[in-house]
Amino acid sequence: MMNHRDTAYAQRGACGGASWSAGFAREVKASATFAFATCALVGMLLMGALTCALAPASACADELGTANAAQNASANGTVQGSADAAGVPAEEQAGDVEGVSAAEAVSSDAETPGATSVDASEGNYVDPAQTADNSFIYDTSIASLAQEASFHDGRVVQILGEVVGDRISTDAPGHYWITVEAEESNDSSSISVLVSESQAEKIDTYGRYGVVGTRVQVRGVYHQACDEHDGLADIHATSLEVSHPGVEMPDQFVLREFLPGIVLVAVGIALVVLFRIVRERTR
Amino acid sequence: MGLAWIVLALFASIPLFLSGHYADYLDALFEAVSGLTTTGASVVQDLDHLSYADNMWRFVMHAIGGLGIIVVGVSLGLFGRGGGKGLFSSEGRSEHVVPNVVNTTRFISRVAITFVAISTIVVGLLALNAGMHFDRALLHSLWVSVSAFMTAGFTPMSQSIMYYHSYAIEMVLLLVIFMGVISFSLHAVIMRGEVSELFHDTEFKFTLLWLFCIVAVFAASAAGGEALSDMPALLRRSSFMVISAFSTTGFMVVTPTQLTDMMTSGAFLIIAILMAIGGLSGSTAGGIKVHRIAMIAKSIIMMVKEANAPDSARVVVSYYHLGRRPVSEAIVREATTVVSLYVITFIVGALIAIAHGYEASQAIFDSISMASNGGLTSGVVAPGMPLTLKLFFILEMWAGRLEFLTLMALIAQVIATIVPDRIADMINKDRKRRA
Repeated sequence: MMNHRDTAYAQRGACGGASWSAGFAREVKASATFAFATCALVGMLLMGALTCALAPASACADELGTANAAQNASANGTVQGSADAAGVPAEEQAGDVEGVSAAEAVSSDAETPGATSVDASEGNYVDPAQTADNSFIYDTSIASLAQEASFHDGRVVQILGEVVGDRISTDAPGHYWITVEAEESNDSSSISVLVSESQAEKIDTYGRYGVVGTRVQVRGVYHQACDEHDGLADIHATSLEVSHPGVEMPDQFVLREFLPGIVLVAVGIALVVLFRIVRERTR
Repeated sequence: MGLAWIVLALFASIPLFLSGHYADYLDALFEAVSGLTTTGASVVQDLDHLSYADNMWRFVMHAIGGLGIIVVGVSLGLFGRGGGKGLFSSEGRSEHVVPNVVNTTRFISRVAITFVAISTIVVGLLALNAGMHFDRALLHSLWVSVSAFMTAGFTPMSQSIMYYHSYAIEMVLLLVIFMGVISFSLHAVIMRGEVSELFHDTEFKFTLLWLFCIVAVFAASAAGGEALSDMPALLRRSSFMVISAFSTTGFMVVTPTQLTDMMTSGAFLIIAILMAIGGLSGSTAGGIKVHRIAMIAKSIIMMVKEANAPDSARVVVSYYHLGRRPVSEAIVREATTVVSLYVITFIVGALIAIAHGYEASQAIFDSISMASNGGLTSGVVAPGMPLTLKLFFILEMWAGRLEFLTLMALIAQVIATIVPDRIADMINKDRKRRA
């Protein structure tokens, strides 16, 4: 049953062409007001909660002191010879090196090559940016980062994966976001990686349909909720190496594969026409 | 009409299955139902390598489902002159924006196309500025704009909205989501210049009150957590998730691991409650709808007034929606029934997930997400879900889209055709008792 309001609609109409743009402008204004009011409300409430709450400041845990190095020495994970942020390949230790104490392992204070007892060969440089806590690089998978996020938080990790999507600019000049996807066929997990321009230039192909992107080995600090990037789960890459270049696999046009779709479209059109004929006849 | 949704999904899943990105046909069917019901929960494998055609199809399903099959059909003239009248209300749309159904459907289509087009241009420019290639920027902006306005939830990349690393894009999408959450009848009213109608509307005022209360509780809970509790993370990530849940969109700016492990249990539960209640009626949002909660609240007020009033007094409680209307017994009964059905479905879905070994909090969260067509997932909805759970979640999404009563009427009709004699006996007995 129409009330007086419905009658008014019928008289005025809701879709007058000349007033469409004016109506749309009012629409945007009202919606923006609603959105702004709600966002302001949310913001005020969050600020109020923060001033009252005792939220501890969360920090990227990659700057702990050397006191923890001995504890970390017994952690699982293959120990690479020494990290090398400059891209010089590090010599790999043969087998696991579990139980090696921090004093014997790579020391953050050792800035000269071969200064440790673990590996005295030339070219095994120590990354001075690595503190003792990060002397172990956790060779892991992208899925493990998600499953054991708190364990890996703030640690130097090494992952292998395919670069997909696009290179996204950041506010910081000379840095970009890339997305690295797991290589395993049954694992579609991915992670955002912050890379420098020089690192990004090593990527020749970004994965998408018909294209396998450049496969890279990324080493960097993992954050389960990065403070610099408003809580994003990311890796700040310290090194990026290409393991396999990208490959294009163009599709080949096979008419036979289109036949089921063509048949279904024809059936659909026929049904619509039939429906209209039957409907008109029953009027 | 209710059956048309599942039949359409059966056909819509064919191109998805043929893409090779789904473990089996049932996964493709789940995706199709999720797309058509604008739930947005995805079980696709290797989404980042999905073809443009398959991705476009996913978002076309969102557009069809969000607007409604009948709206799309009538707008395209598929039903002929004056077609679709009887079917319009059977897909969960009980309100005519204008008295004429055909004009209503055309209005809804025009509003949707206009907002999606503007959003596509703005988001596309932002994506180009961020360094995306032109074709990808254009397509991604179109797809996320459709998903935002339909409050659906599919995204073209596996990282959801986090992929774009852009606060500006998130803000634009939030604005589009708000436009999708407002009912189309209110859109019509605003476009006629009666902006004050929006702020007089009982459901709208109740929504603001509801958001005020729930966000206060959410902020207090989230701020006490160990992570995602500093101001930038709260303002950007947590507030986006609150609005994504309230509108039942399903866009994620946190990973499922962050949602379950790093947010406090209180914040996690509040997001589930936001999805359960949902948005405004007559919009693209899902959930129980704020209107029904408002009617139940009004009925409580009426009962309290009746208790305090003399027996001879006639108590009338009204609400405002495009005019002052009384809260009738039928409205309250419908609201209470639908809320009860939703809650029962949440519980049953959660119990089935728990029976399959999932954690209780995650099971409840995902069950609510499916029935309310929210789309946020804590990890239960994923490729390789158990078969029975997948089937029940498909049923939940379907029931949620039709807001239960239509589906139950359909089930009753099916039963009646199977056992007509028994039903006829029941109807005859009922008639005799009433006589």
